[in-house]
Parts: sequence; C-alpha cells; structure tokens
Amino acid sequence: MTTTPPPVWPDAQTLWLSNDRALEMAQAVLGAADAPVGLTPKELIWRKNKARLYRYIRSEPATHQTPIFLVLPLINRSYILDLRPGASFVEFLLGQGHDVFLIDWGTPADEDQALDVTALVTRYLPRAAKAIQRASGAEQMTVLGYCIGGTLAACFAALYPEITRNLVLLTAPLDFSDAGQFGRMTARGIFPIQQITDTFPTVPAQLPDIGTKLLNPMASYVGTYRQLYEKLGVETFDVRGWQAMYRWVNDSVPFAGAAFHQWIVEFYQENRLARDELEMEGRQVRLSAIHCPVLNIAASRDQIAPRPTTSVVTKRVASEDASEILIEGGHVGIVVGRSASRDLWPKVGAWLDSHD
Amino acid sequence: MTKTQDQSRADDPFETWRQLYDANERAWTEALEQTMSSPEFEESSGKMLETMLAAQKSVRDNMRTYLETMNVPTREDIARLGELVVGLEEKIDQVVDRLDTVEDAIRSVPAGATGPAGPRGPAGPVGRTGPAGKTGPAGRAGTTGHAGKAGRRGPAGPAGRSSTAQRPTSTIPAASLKAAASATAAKPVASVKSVKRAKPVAPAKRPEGA
Repeated sequence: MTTTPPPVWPDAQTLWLSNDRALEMAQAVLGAADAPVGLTPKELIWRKNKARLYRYIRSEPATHQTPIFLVLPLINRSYILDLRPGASFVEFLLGQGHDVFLIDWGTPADEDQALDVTALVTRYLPRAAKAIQRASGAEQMTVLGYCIGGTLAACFAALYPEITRNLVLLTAPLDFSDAGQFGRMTARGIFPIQQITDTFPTVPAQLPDIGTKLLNPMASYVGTYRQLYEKLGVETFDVRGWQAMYRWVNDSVPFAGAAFHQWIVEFYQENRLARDELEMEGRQVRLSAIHCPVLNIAASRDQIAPRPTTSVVTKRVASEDASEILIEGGHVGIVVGRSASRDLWPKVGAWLDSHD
Repeated sequence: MTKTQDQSRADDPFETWRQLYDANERAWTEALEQTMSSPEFEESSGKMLETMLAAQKSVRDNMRTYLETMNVPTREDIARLGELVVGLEEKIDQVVDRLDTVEDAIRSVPAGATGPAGPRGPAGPVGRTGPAGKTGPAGRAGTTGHAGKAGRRGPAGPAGRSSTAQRPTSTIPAASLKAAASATAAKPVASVKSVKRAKPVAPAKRPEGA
C-alpha cells in the first residue's frame, strides 16, 4: 500500500518575496504612463495645426554650421529621440555641438481627416525648414528622419534639394516590394483600407499598434513582462529607464485618415516611391533626384522596416556620397537601446562632422 | 532545515511562469509566425477587421442620428468647425508664403538698381494701410515717380473703398518693391528676431500633443 505524500507548500518567506516582486512589477507597469521623458529643454519656434517645431536650447553656440532637422514618425511620440538623460540622441547631438530642431506632428483629430502625406511633405516640412533657416541663419540643413519620418525626409530631400545639405535615414522604409509581415497584412484585397478610412476620420492608434505588436506577439505581449521580472531582481536595474521605454511603446498616436490611406495604398500596396511613380502636388518624387550626401542606417533584425525596405536607398539615389551603416539590433533598440550610445551615435556623429 | 536558493526560486510562482515561458517561447513564436504568415490567417484577419469596422460604423451612424435628433452637435459638426480653422490657418500660411516671396524678390534687387527711389520708401507703408491711403501723404507718394506706385498700393488694403484697378500687380517696379520692403521689414511676419524671442518651453512631463 502506497501513501500519497502531503503537498509541499512554499514557505512564507518565498511567498512574500514573490509577492514583493509582483507588486514591484505592477508599480513599474502602472507608473510607466507618468515616466519623465523628453526632458532636454527646448523652445517652440513654429507651429501649424497640431505640428510643432522645437529648437533644443544650447548653453553655448553651436560649433557646427549645418543645423539638424529631425523628422519623426507619424504614429509615435516624438520623445523617442530624447527619451531621458543619458539615453537621448538629441542630447548626444547637442553635446557634439549641433543646432538641433525637431518636428513633433502632434495628435491628429477628426478635423485632420483630409491631411495626407503629400500635405505633410509639401506644406508642413518646407515651412518648418524655413523657420529653421530663419532661426539658425543657415540656408541648408541636415534632414534626419526616423522610420516613417525617414520616408517623409527622403521625399522632402527629393523635392527640395536646395534646402537639404545632407540626408540621414534611420530605419526608414523606402521600397515596399518586400515589406515582410506588414506588407502581407496590408496587401490589396486583404486589408480593408477604404472601409477603415470611411469608418474612422483618424485611424485609432491601437490599429497600427496592434499590427506592430503582432509582428512579434510573444515578445510584445509576454516577453516584455518576463524581462521586467528578471531585471527587477538585479540591484542595478534602472526601473525609470524601463518605464520610459514602456511608455513610448504604448503611447502611439492616431493616424490622420487621408495620410493612412495614402501610406497604405501609395507606399505599401503600390510601392510608388521606389518605382518613381509617386507624385506630390503635381511633382514627381524620385529618389534619383536626391544628390546630397546620404547616410542610411538600418537594423539587421528590424521587423517594422525589414532590410529589403531599407537597403534600396544607397543604390537609388543620385548622390556620389551615399553610405550605409548596418547595426545589429531591432527597429527601436538601435536608436535608444543600451548599445545605441556605443554603436550608433558615435558613427552618426563622425559622419555629421565630416559633412558639416 | 533551510532551503537552498534554488529551492526557494522553484517555489516562487513567478519563477514557474518564467520557466514555462523560457521553455516554450521559441516554439510558440515559431508557431505564431507560421500561422500569421499563412494566406488563410491574412484572409481571416482581414474579414475580422471588416466585421469590426462594420459594427463600429453602425454604432457611429446610430449615435450621429441620435445626437442630430436631440439637436446636439455631433462629432462631425465639431470636426467641421476644426476644419474651418485649419483651412484658415493654411490660407494665412499661403499669404505669408507670398509675402516671403516678395521679400525675397526685393532682397535680390541690387541696392544700386533702386537709386534715388530709396528715400521714397516710407511711402509704402502709408499706402498699404487703408485709411492712410485717403490722406495726404499717400497722395504725395503717388505723385513722385516710382515710390508713388508703392503709395498706390495703399487703397488696395480696404478693397471695398477703392477700385480694383489700383491693386498692385506683379509688375511692380523695383523701387516700389524696395518701398514695400521697408513696409514688410517694419513688421516682419516671422523674423529671426521674433522667432528667437519665443518663450522657451519648460521641460515637460509630457511633450506637446502627448
């Protein structure tokens, strides 16, 4: 006759420690919405509708002649490049002696239903650039675009070569012929783009956000918390840093209806930019019209802008000086991850120094 | 008897969850990737999205009908007002762009080319303001060569009071442009100086628009 052993309960001390860790996790996640971000002082120098152009305040005059114009994505908050002290690309650029400007697209509302990508490139960016010219006294500038902002920056550089001294693209998708999972999800006949923009004047932030997270659902929905659990046990773990990143990832922005429609149809489905068929305000937008020095920065494990979408630029632009930096990492990690300040920023800084 | 650290970790419910995740993460990820990249999933997700959109549209339409019946402004009504404001701002921007173009054209005129018309410059601003256009100074400007033409731009301000024939055209002589330059320079649309005086934005907890 065998006897069933009594159940072994965890001792009280273990349970309390586990309980503490659970509470710390909850506090970290719930407090992320208020994590301090975008702390580098800046001044507002131009505005149009919801868009704002900021100039980052320098304690000393810039040592570089060419100002830097940062063009951010439409679906993310602008503080990604100025996440927090010590993890801020803007802070790095200021430290290198640059005059830094950033356009924050703001949050579109229903009245922006008709605001499309063309308007952003031909009505917003040139006027913002003019404000930069006035503020800095420089005729030309380095246009640096991140993600969708990079696509807009490339269009801008093609249409306004007289203003663009250099073009820096940071994980910017330009060729959508093989756009990976995103490309398949938004394919014609599958993705009801017309129905979406008919229903929503501004496409809710959750829609693109879910699409992005579905690219790697395990890491997005579970892995994040698993990492947090692991790191909370490390004494040197910077909870504020984790919260800042968590806040940014979950703090998406709605997409103006017409802009979303144009982005999906003309860029993803018809791939007009790479095929030299994109028109804005009656003007052809051709990558071959870009003659200025170009630096293309791509991430090796980028799922949002996979390599085929980013690798085309150096081959297609007319610039004699077009180079590429391929960084090991993902779409966001290479910009703000721990390795960013070690791997990426110094390389960009050196390139900018040699193209001032 | 005290437990070892390993035993303690094994008792932690979160540790069990972590081990479960670590052991299966790769397999689950691969399975999900395989599923999501299949044409069936893409088609199915498209249909699901369409259904959700249809439901959402129905809710929106019903709400609009209800609010209209109750004589309450709908979301569309408010958006329409916003559109007007945004449209107005765009028109102002277009006017500013044109002023910038004129200013640029003026600046591109060599200083020597304007010659004696330079001193007549002040006639420009007088002429541009409507009421002043009716007064003596504007009239005097009108009688003096090039600068006089700048003076005639004045009535164009209060268009209702003057004939359209007096409106400035694109063939304004350089001297008049010079006069206009002094007028626009007196009150720049967005000069470097005014731009630099903009109040610095204090480090915010949430950025603009957040």
